[in-house]
Amino acid sequence: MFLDQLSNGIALGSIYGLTAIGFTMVYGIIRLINFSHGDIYMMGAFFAYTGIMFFKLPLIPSFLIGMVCAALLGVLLAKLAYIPVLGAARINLFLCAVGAAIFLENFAMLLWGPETQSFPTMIENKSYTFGGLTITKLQFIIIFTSIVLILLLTYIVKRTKMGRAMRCCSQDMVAAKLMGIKTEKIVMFTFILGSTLGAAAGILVAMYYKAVYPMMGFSAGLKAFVSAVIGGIGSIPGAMAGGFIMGVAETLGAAYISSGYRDAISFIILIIILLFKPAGLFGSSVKEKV
Amino acid sequence: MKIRKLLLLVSVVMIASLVLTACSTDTGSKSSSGGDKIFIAHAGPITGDSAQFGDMKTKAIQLAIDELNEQGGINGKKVELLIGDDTSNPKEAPNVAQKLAQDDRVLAVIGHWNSSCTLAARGIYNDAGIPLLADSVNKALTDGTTPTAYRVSLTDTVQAESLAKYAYEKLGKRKAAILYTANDFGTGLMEDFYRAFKEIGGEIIATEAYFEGQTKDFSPQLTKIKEKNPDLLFIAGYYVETALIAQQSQELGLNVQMLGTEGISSEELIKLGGEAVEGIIFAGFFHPDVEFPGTREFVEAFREKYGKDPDTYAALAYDSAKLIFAAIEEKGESREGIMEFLDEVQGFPGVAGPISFDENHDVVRNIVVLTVRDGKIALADEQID
Repeated sequence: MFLDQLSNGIALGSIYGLTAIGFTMVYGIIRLINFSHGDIYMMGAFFAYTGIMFFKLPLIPSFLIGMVCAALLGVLLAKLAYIPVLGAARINLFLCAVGAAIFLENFAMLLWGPETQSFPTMIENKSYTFGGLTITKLQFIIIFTSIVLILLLTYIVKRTKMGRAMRCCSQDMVAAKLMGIKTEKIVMFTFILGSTLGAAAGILVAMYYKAVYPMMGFSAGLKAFVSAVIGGIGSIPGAMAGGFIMGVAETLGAAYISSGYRDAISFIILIIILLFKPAGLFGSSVKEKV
Repeated sequence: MKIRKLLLLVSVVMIASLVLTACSTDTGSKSSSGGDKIFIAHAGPITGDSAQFGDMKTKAIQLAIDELNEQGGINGKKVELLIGDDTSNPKEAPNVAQKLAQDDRVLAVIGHWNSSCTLAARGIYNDAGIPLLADSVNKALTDGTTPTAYRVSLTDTVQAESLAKYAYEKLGKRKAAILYTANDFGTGLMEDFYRAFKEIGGEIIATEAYFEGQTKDFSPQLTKIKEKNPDLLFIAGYYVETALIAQQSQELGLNVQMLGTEGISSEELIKLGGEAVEGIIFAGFFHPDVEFPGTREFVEAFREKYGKDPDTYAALAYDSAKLIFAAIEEKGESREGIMEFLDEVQGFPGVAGPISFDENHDVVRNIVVLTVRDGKIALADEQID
């Protein structure tokens, strides 16, 4: 029973982690709590769904279409909603993100209808058992994708020229600009990357639960936010770790305490972790520059 | 500064025109007085997670209205439908109710599908004296505090008792687990089923909650239920979650007979659940094969107009609209008249069975037991006596 629940928790945690990676990266670069991340995730899933259902494409092209369209959407959002207010107070950027989220939800309702749609079964979901831990094929794919994405992202951010520019921007936007970095381009690139990641997460989750619906990003975005904060917001491996902690805590809480309180349990964990490690598990507390 | 003012003016005008056009498309009429028209309203989930039901109800009511208008309306007046969207959110429902209650043209409201929404809105309709024909099942709706509310469906208590009895006697189940959505609808059903199943000698071995529209991962609950090894899983929830529960049970290897309520009697259940919902048994108040006078005509007209079969709620909404028309025809265009008619009506010929209301304003009717067979909603082999 415990091992069963633990594997349930790890599966759920990998989904949270995957969603949180894109979220935490955008925060890491431009210090934006991107509340539209969950909705990009939803749009990505819907784009892939459209590819499969209306254009009858196989899984991989649909998956790519979902990611590319979401990236374009990310560019559009960055151009129209974020870059114009980049110089203003942080709260403006934040409000723009919330506005974009509300817009996307309603846009999806208008376009695809408000009801839950069934995502076609593309991968036969077999389950395997390793020493008491049960894992299904899709769960394995989700965990595997997350790890690959983490490695890839870490490489981009830490090793490439673009990554160095991104880190410069995260430290000081104005100084980076003075040094000749095209900050707008960097912000754009960050959004493209974040949106692509969000879409990948959305499509995988849609495949996992076999459902897409316009509000699917709302609670996912919130959970991604909490996972990112637990792991130390801005830290990419931290987001994954935070996701696992959330998933396992929720599942075990639902199993051994009460299923009615599962969300409360995960938020209590958040508070406890923040009490002892205010910067999150993997976060480094850098003093705000004045 | 000047440009700013101009911009402001332009945007105000644009917003105003948007609102105005929106209103006129809503009602489909330019006239603001109800002089030459009769207005009834449908309040319910037009968007949101229960939108499928709201949509079916709108379609059915519109069908009833179109049929009536083609025959010349009531006393030469055409009937028109106003729609309020509560997004299946109980916080939104009172706003919708307030808007309809302030509209003097509205003679009656069909609606609020979700129990929580109906309960949140019913006081407002009551204060305005508007008759409300609801198909929500929570028993509190007809507790006597809001006498303008009438229920065209059955209460959760009656439904849960019938289902408990059916599971025990017809299916021979003894050990049931309950998975319920933590709102007025699910909790009411859970409590009544729990009590009724125990009273007739069954055993309830687990009750687990989830949250409508939020819970997508049911594995902790289902793993727990699997440990207890029940022979029946009673799901008190709506179709989206029920489809997920069925799929995840299959993946976790929980093979147990599932029993649901009228909250899942929708084609969407099969679309979302696929083969995982095959064999699930649930309650309904209507099925095209259970024929009453007018049922076949209704089903055919519905199919022709919308290209799909009507569900339980479409049938109930159609009957509700017909009831209101009959009331207006007999008692005139007044809210009081409609209520008077509803109090008196005996055996009104509805497509989901004859309608009469008891002293609590609850309708008296039977449950139809449905199942999913070969990807279609069909009548179960065993019916309630």
